[in-house]
Amino acid sequence: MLLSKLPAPAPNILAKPGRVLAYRGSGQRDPSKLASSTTDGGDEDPFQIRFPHAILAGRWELQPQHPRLPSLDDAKERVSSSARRLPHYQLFPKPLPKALTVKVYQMDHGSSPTKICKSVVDEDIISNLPEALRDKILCCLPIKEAVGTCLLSRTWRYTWGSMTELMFRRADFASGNDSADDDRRFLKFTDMFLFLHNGPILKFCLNTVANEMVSTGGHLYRWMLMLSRNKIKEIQLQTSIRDSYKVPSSFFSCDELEYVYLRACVFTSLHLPPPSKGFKQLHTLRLEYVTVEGNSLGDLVASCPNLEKLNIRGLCSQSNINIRSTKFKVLKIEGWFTHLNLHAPYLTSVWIGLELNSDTVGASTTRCNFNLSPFIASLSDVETIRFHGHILECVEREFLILKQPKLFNRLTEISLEINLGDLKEANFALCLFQHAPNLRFFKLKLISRNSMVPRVHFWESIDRDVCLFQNVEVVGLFDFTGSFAELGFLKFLLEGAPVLRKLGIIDKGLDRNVLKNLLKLRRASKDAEILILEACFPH
Amino acid sequence: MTAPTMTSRSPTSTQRSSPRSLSTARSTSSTSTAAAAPAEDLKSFDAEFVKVDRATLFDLILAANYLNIKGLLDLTCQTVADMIKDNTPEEIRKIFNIKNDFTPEEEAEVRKENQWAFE
Repeated sequence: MLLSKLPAPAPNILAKPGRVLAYRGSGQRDPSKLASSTTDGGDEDPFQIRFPHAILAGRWELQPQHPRLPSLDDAKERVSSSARRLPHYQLFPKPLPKALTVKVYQMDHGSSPTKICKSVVDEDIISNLPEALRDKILCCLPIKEAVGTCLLSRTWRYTWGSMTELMFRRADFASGNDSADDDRRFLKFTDMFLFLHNGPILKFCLNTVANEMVSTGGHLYRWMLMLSRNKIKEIQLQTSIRDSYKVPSSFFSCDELEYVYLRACVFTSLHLPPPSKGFKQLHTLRLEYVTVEGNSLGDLVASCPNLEKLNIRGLCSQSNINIRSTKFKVLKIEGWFTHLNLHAPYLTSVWIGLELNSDTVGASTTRCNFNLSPFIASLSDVETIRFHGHILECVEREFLILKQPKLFNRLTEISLEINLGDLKEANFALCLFQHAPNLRFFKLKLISRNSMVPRVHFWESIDRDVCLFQNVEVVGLFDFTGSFAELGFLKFLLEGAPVLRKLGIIDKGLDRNVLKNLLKLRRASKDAEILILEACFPH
Repeated sequence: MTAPTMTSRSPTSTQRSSPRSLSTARSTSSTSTAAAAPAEDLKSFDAEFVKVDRATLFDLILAANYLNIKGLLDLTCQTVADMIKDNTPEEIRKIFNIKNDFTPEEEAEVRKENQWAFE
């Protein structure tokens, strides 16, 4: 079935040194013409091998070196059996161009191997790659150059039009001249590209941060509308903070979204979709410098059943935020908020950071409603806990109460910004340590406020029999000032950590005596290395 | 090898490139588990790995696609993209042996159609 209808050539043709050429075309070939069209003008009879599979229109090289070659029949059998084992014709959806030469060489010891490579180098491999791979190569190029490939050849004329991952960077349009003119060119390019683009867009990235482009204006709304019609899966809009915009309603029609990164936008309750019509596939939501009105964030989270990762930096909210999810794995909320109610029992990583407005006079006047106790009590599989900023300070009247025998067995890393001299905060830290038997690494950024408060003998009075830091290996203490409470905690730590390896203390200028006393403290772990590093303040 | 071997340039069983790509897949996956491998070394390894002739590079792309090795596919496609970048169409055609089958009228039409991209 594999042989053509040509007369079979001499049986041991392969045994002869020299070259044997085989030609595969898409149609019937006149044998007499074959001889004249071979490049080496060999005078042996060419034989034609034709295969039914489209995929086998590749290049074949026969590299026999041994003089005792099998007969032609064996070679054909080998070719056909290996041909049957190749199933992946789907990588070549389009038929290959017709004039594809198959050259079968027999190398004798005298001929140079470069002669085989010559025909390979002459060929246009890149245009014959499967569409998916050409698309991938174009997506690695800057978008302007990707469009520029339309001039290469007829095959390439519209390849750019089916790119699936788009990245528009304002920085690529910087010409050193007038910046407003560059803005205009960038917007026009993006508009025209999306207008002429043909095919699904899976990923759309926009980056206007570098040049602080002031306003994308109405363009963003049109682009979002266009993307919502194109089965978009991933959107990253890194716009400049000064370019604040309301999230367009067409954004909520992008049903297939899986990853979203938005910056400097405003979420209001008015145009959110009902909970039944949210993003069913969304797994990661990343927001920066967003303003949230009402409980729109909570509503959005509720409408995304598969959301696993929520990362918000620079959150601005004045109202109550109520977030409940049983799917969350990673949660980070940092910003300026006054009311936060969280319930996400299956989290593995938590990061909550509260920042205060700089115009607030003294932290004592700021209060934040955060259901700290019930929230932490509900976490069972958490691995990393981080509380930064003023969250511990501002939480009203909360003493962490965790009922025994609740233990965070998987908690290995804690990072807190804490005032060890404050009773409430110190109790929080102690409670957390008591319930984390497998803690390996923790880091405290020490805040010391009013020195007028009477000294708290909290850390000295703790029962030393229970070894709290059994598995702690690395500890970092930042902004150490050597206050009474801090030294008390340090003593407590060193006496209770039998496997401590490294303790890093970054101080703000300690007294020499304090340092000496510090190093003399009794340590439970003989391998403990105390590193005292000075913080570098920018001048 | 005493018996003749057939090497096909089909994308699935590129015998020259598959061993190379398999060995690198093994080495990169083993180094990812050993966290001590510095990024610098991996970067220079990657850079050296793709210093091959074009035919082998395309073979690597096809092999990485078939074997579904994302890292290798990204690396090789980026290498090809770097060859295309910052070159005029004529230079790109020369590098990749692409035949310019546009007639002059067609080429003018394409330029006009996509004038917005060349501004």
